Amino acid sequence: MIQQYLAELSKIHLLAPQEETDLWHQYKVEGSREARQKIIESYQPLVFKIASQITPLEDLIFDLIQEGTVGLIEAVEHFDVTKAVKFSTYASHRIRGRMIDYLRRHRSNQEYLELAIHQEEIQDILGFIADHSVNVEEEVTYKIIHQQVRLAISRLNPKEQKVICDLYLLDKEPAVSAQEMAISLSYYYKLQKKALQRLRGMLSKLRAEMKASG
Amino acid sequence: MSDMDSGRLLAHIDEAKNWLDKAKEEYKGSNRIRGDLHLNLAQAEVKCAWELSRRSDVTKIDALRQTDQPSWRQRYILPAAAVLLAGMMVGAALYWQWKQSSEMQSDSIAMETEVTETVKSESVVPTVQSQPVASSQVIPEAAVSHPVSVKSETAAVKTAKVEKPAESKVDEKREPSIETPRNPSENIVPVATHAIGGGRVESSSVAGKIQPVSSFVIDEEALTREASKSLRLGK
Repeated sequence: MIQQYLAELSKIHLLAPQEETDLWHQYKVEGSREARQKIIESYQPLVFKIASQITPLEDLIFDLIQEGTVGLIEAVEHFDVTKAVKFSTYASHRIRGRMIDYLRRHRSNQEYLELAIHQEEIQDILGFIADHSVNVEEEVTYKIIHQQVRLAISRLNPKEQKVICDLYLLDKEPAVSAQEMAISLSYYYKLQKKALQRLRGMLSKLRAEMKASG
Repeated sequence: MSDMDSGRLLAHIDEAKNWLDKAKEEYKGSNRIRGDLHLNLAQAEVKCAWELSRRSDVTKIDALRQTDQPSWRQRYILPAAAVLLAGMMVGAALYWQWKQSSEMQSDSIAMETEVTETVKSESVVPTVQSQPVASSQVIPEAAVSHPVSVKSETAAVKTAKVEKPAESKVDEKREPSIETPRNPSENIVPVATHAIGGGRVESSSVAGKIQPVSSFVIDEEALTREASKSLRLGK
């Protein structure tokens, strides 16, 4: 069933940077409802992606998608276009935040809650190295962070390395990546959780420095 | 709910309607998965509207709670007034009690003195009784005590008044008191004198003022009662 949804989501038209800028202007300045709908629709795959990174359980995924969609709508409404933050980064935090809140309310999903929290904590670093649209001023910072993250990832075992690279650098679907590795999806999530835990420890100093520098 | 929140809530409802219309179209066109995606968006809009409405309710309740809660002044003014009132009442009660006790004390002192005087006069009686007294003798004020509070004594005095000779010059209008005689020379009831004299009045001036003893009736019972009462009061 999830595969059907993913197939349908792949048909959704992703916004080009200029098109997105125009849509934000139309929505925030002119108050266009159509622009709002287009933005929300085009970011629906992000909700699915984040939900599928947290759990392989189908029922739970749909619940998380429901919560994540509320987070996406809130992100669209509260996003400040004048700030130098990418909408995808801002929306990811709000979407994952809603999902974490949901998992907290439902104690039976404690295992997935931990995974979601680990993801949230190192999302900035992983998102930073996955983002290729870095400008010239950020080039030096980018290189330093990139080096440190690469070094940390290289310290993981090969399976953990592949999981992290597929999920966060190559944006692969967990099911596809697990199939490539010839392992079960549940084992794949276990590897992901363990790898994130180790990365979190290794990058704690870097995270603190990034927070301090703002 | 503020106007802005109300506007946002209505906008969410409109958007939900819009997504529902789109979902309806997709289901009609047999594109179930796309229909589900739109339905999911409609549900999310409804949830946003619902949360907004609930949040404003919570804010309202919080605001109501804050207004319902009395300020510290309101909270403490009643107990403070109650404590003040209680203090005043206790003070008044203590003052009243003190006043009562001091009054009783003065009363009992007066009574004690009266009793002493009465006892003195009583002790005079047998001494005088044995003396032949001239009918023209005048009863000195200090010699016979007339306490108003002691009824039996008053009665006794009354009896004495009735029986006294016409020449006696007892000032009836005078307040019976513990007064000492105005002129010491007039003080004619020195008990010692009578006792020393072996029951005889030696001084003619004194003897001339003494009333015949037979005319006095002393209520001994009443006197004893009064004496024991004042003793009970500890005075």
